[in-house]
Amino acid sequence: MSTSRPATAARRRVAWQQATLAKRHRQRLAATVGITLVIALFAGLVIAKAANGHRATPTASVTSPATSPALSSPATTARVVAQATSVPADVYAAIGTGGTAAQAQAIPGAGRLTVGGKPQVLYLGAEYCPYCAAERWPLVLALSRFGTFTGLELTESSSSDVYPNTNTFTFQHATYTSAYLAFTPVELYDRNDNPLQTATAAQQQLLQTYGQGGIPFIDLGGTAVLRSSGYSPQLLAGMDWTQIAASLTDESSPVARAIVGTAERITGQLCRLTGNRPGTVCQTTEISSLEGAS
Amino acid sequence: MTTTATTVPRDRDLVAAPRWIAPAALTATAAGLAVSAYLTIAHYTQTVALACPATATINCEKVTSSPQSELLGIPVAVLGLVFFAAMAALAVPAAWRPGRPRLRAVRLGFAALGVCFVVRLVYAELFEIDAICLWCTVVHVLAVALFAITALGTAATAAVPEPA
Repeated sequence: MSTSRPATAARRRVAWQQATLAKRHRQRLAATVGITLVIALFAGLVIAKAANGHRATPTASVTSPATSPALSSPATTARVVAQATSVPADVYAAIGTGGTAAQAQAIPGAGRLTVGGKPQVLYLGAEYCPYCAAERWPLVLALSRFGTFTGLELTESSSSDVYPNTNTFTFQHATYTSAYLAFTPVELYDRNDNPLQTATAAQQQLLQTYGQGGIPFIDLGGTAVLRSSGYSPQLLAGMDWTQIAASLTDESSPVARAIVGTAERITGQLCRLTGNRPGTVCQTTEISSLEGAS
Repeated sequence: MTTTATTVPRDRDLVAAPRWIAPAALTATAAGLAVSAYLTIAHYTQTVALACPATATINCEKVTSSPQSELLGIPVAVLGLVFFAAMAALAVPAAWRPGRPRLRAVRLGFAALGVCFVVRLVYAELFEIDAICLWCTVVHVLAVALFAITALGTAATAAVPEPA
């Protein structure tokens, strides 16, 4: 009897050790499966994105394809974007403000908007909105003087709103890179009025406070806002993107005078934000006169 | 009798966590804290800009200024900071001793929550924002690595109650 107690204790000890090892083995297996599933999930997301990207490429320039099939070809998009983002300096000089009215409203007391140390231009609009459609042209022109867009696409405003089917860009997939400015676009709805992108609470607050909830709303670094288009969308009626883009360098064209003139006014505001950089854009007599009154 | 000696480790191996777990977890949390702090500082200050290339695919600025960069008004960079700070507290060597089932469950659950959040953010980057933030990706990789370390560490320190 005196020897059986230690033997029983030893057997229990071995049983405990084996049970612990078995439990660890099961949990290690479960952990390995869990980690594998997580990695597989990320791999699946990347593969799905890659597959989507490949399918989207031929129609990447078209938005709302269900209602507007073949709005534009990739070649048309590329040509229109190239023309709108490279209007020569002498065209700006010749057109000046093009007879457009001052659009910016100062918002004294508002907090400065910055991203990564750069003044932020915040755009809130919607693809259905004809005034947004009109304003995107000069906004693209002006911002292109300070940086580079990628991912700009073509769309039309709503077919059932005023100034229907106004040809324009969409910022939905656009990326903007600049040494001087940050550009944050939010397209709230598509051209069929379906929700598209969501504004942050802070952006919505700015829209309500300084834009009374109306779009387009463009906050220029927290110093001034643009609350409508700088010209009537009627001016673009019946014109497609190619015709609008081609007219941008025709100094006598009313379309060029409206779009380039509005872009020049926006440029004046942007130069004030960037401290007159770059000098090639900002240090002109026209821009200097616009900085305080555009 | 030698079979028992070769298949069953000594008792001290069953009551001590493998040596690699705590250092690995602490390294991952320290790195996560550092990158999250960098993202948080860049979010709140005007003088620190994220060192990040801007291409059609990679654009930190587009991601960090997107609507998805906030949750209930809180920047996700701050949430990352809180996550790694909490994981650092849960990953100190003393917290890896076998037993402590509640602590093990909380740590594993927190690490899994971090992975769920990362999945959501990666989905937003790929399918909603259309841009990848490199610094955010570093944080995502660290969060997943932390989950893997935690899961394996939890398994390695599992124990059944010792016989009396």
